[in-house]
Amino acid sequence: MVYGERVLRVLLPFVLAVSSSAAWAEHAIIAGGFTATTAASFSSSPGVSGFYAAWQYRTGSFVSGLGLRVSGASAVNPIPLEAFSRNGLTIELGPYVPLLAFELGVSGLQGLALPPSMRPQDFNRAENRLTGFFYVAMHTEALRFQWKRFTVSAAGLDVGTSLTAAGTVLRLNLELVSVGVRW
Amino acid sequence: MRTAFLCLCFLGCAPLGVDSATTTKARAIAQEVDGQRVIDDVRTLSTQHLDDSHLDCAALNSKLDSWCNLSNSRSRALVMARLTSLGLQVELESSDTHPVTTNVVAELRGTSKPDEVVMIAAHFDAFYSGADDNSSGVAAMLEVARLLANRPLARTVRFTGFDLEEIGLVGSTRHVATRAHPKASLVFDCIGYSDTKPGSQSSLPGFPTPSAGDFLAVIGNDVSRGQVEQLFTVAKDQEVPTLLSIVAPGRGAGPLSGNLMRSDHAPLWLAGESAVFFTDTANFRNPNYHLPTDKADTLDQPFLTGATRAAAMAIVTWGDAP
Repeated sequence: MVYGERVLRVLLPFVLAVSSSAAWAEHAIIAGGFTATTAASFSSSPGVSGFYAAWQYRTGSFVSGLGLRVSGASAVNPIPLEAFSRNGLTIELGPYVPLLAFELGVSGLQGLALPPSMRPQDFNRAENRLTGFFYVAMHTEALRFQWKRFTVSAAGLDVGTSLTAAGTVLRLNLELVSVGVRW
Repeated sequence: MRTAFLCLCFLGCAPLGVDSATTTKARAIAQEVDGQRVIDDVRTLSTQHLDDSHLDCAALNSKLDSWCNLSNSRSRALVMARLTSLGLQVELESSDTHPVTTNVVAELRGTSKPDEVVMIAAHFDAFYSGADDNSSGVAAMLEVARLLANRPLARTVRFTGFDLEEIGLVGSTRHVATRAHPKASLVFDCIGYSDTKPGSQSSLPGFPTPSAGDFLAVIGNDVSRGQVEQLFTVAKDQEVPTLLSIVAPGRGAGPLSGNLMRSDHAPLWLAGESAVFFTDTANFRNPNYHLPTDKADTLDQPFLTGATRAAAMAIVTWGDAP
């Protein structure tokens, strides 16, 4: 068997799983809790937690969606909102439906904490200016399941960076638990 | 001594060439480094730090002993006087924002590309006597200034003494925020301590290093990769310490490279600019780091001389290469 055939055989179950569900579409509304942090070289955010809601549209294995995260206002994040769009892939293995998506968003949750007021803050302010508002992230939900009209997901993870200075300011967002309703 | 090139690179990039005339000139000037003068300057600076008044650590909201033994006045005056005596126009770059900083800046105008600036810099504030940190770097900068004062390069060379690096890269951050950014920068912090014993070198987390602390770390970002390669080309087989290169990806700044950013090159990296950092790795090697025992007698004079030679080669190459 040539190498190409071996690769195809390995990929075949995935291809079948993806293509077999391509003929239908569904919507879902999802809500859950999250906790997030942003980090630069010498500064990091104080950590924010809150709730989020999202609308998802799935056609076959392709998933698109829009969402909004809300946290409490603080001096670091005076407008504690984050809006995002997601585009990705899912695969249906019985009740198990993991999700891998690309997330693009605009955020008011990425502010970095400054050191105590008497300490020099110049460098930290320079870092803070690089957090910006726009970000990009990879979103994974490895523990996502569906049952009848419902979905449940735990430990969804976003790993991303500010688009103002890609790689300089990193963000982590953990979606603790979310539940969704499909129709 | 030998030159080794260990490069932790993440992105590919074609090396920048160095013509033979520049190489010859850089090596010849580097040979003129006066090691005795450099170590004498370290001794003078260290003594002046001990005799200097200390900053008000209470105003800085710190109870650390080291912060209450931080001085900068007499070392600043020495840098200013020395650069002035070389015939350079010296400028004091002050900021009244708390804490007040006064950097020392002098430029040697370039002959054919005066608008392009190559910066050599070291912070002159120090805890206790601060021989390695950072009188060694200041002395090396002053020696390069002495060697170049009467023979300008194609590009303008900016000699900069940064204030208050120790409490948060304050002077350098303000400098980068207010001045035109250099085409290339070389920053010194702790370049005089060496130990050949196996086990004397601790690894920077995430960046494996040799066991013996007898190399000079040459730390660049992706923007300065070409300048690092030029230095290694020119310094090959010269009397310099073993050079170990670490090139951080992208700007170099980020939460994963914090240990590579602990000096005055960091504001330049944060701004996406080119900067190369020379260091003996400070507390990852030197047991006297930020202690009253950081004295001139603990330094390795040949190592410091070689590091100064490497610096001279770098500045001449970056300042003159086409």
